[in-house]
Amino acid sequence: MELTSTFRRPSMMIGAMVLVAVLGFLGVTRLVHRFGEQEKALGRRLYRQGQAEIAAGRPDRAIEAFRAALSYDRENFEYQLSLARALRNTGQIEESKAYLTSLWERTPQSGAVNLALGRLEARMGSIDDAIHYYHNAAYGEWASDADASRRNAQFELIDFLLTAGAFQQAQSELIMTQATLPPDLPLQLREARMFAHAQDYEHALNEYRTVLARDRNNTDALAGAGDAAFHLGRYRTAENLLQEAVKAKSSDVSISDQLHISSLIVRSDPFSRRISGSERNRRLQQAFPQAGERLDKCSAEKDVDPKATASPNEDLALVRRQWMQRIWAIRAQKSRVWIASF
Amino acid sequence: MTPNTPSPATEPSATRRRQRPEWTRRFSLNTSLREERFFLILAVFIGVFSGLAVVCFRLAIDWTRIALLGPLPTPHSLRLIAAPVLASLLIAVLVRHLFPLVRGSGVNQTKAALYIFNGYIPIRTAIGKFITAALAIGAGHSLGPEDPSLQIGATLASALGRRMALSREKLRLLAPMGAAAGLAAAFNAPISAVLFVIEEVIGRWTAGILGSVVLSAISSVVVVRWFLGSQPLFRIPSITAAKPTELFAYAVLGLAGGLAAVVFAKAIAYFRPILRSLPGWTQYVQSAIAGLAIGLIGYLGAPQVMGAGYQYMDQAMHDQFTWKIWLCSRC
Repeated sequence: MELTSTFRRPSMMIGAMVLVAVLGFLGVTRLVHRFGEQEKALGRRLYRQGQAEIAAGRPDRAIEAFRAALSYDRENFEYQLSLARALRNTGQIEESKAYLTSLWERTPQSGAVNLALGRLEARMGSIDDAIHYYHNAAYGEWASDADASRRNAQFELIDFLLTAGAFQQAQSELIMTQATLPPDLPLQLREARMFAHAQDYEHALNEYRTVLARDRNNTDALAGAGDAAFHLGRYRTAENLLQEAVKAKSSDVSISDQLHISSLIVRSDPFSRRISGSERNRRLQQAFPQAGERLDKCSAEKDVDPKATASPNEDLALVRRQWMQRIWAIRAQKSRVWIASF
Repeated sequence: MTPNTPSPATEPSATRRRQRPEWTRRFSLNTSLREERFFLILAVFIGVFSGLAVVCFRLAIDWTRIALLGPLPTPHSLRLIAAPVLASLLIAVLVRHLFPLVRGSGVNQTKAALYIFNGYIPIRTAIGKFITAALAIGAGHSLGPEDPSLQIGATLASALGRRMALSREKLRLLAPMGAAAGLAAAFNAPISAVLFVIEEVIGRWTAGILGSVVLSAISSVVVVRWFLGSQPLFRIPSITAAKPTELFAYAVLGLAGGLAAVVFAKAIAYFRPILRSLPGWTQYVQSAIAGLAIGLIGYLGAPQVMGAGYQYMDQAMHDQFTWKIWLCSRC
């Protein structure tokens, strides 16, 4: 039989091969383990070297050290994340993204990875992707101090949105953050400033008032609340708050300037409820021609056609037409009064 | 004839079966195994042994690199020059006096073994290739571990076949199986290895050996992944084609790559006979000059070109490629 002549004892041969394979596996396992330990120790040393280079402001050298560390421990999460961060900080976006994406595929719930990806997308200007990863970071898993890390991720997202001019989205994020904010003055102040930056002055004023309820002499809160009230058109409130702020911090010129403007507005407001009829008339007589002058000046500067109904300055033209109608009506009224006096 | 009455023709074997213990009879492969099945089992073992050998080979390369070049090779370090020069001299001594058959391309030698020597490759070749290639790559020579792995796998398969006293015909088939296993383990890519071996070593599609080659390649990759992990060599960036005309750029890239490869291969073919025709003692100098050249490139600012360079190829895929590295690697 051909088979028998060729393979006299196949079972013995297979048995011998199994034995050699088992022995080989045992030997190589031991070898790989020992060498692996040695490589991991090298990786740790190089990782520390990379961190030292980062601290010394030499990111290029840090990248080399992190790369080498990773080559000795290819699966290491920390090395890969540090390398990706260093690459991102030196503008090597594509490579950084490749590392981070690989990490994200391994641990999609990791807060640190999602935050790094969020920063990367923010740097690339991809608002939607950045929001997605920042949200993941805010609700992801953190190795230590999870609450603070999540809050920082949220604040970082809001900062990014404010910088990108996405005020509506920033306001939504701020309202979500406000609900989970602990009673911490610096955090509340930061939140209030962000509300103001996002042009949500109502929430900003409320947040500043919350701070002032706990620390009524907080200059930053007084100035911020005054500014928010000013933007809301509550000039008297703004004046009061800014006066308090100036008392506490008289050196700040911007607060003094804003107080000055607020006071001017309050003093010339014809609709104020705390003034007499004659004072109201005086303010009106003073304000109306001033408004006309400014409208004329503004129209001249912008070359506005008063009859135009569809132009970029349509609103200005409309206000100016309304003002003209009013002035003619006032003059007609004056004429009637003058004729009646005879 | 009643069932209890054995026929005269079957009586002797039936008697033998009765004499052997039950478990031996059940597990005996003598009568149940067909040649093809045994070949498939053998393919798995060839893959396993090649995988183990390639794992050891890669450890040897890494260990040598750390020992000779240090854990983090940086430019302007004298060991970048000294290590490849001294290693080259040692390799020259080993190749000239101990392992003369390891000289040259492993693919060509495997092909020669397949077509000229009936699949016979001496085990000394694998040992020599293992030592000299680990030393060369570890010392910074701009070489890859794929070709030596292929040859080590083919040699192990050949040695295994000889140990089993296989016929010449079967022995010839084992070398490509081992080559595929070695290459698959080196690249961590079984399919590419199978295609490469069928196209480059066997030279034609043969349905009879395809199954064995695939099995050996896959089993070797499983072994390598068991020990070294399953991370791919390269992190492929996400590529999106903005417009179909970009395909022309890929076509041009392919042409340029093909052209560069032809020039490179022709240059080797041109220089090899010239260098081999020089007196024997110059081979030490030739080797040392090659080591000095690569050492100088590393010393002057491009240590990336030293060794297999997978890490730097990976960087090249992420916009870190520079003409400097490319030119140096071609030198």
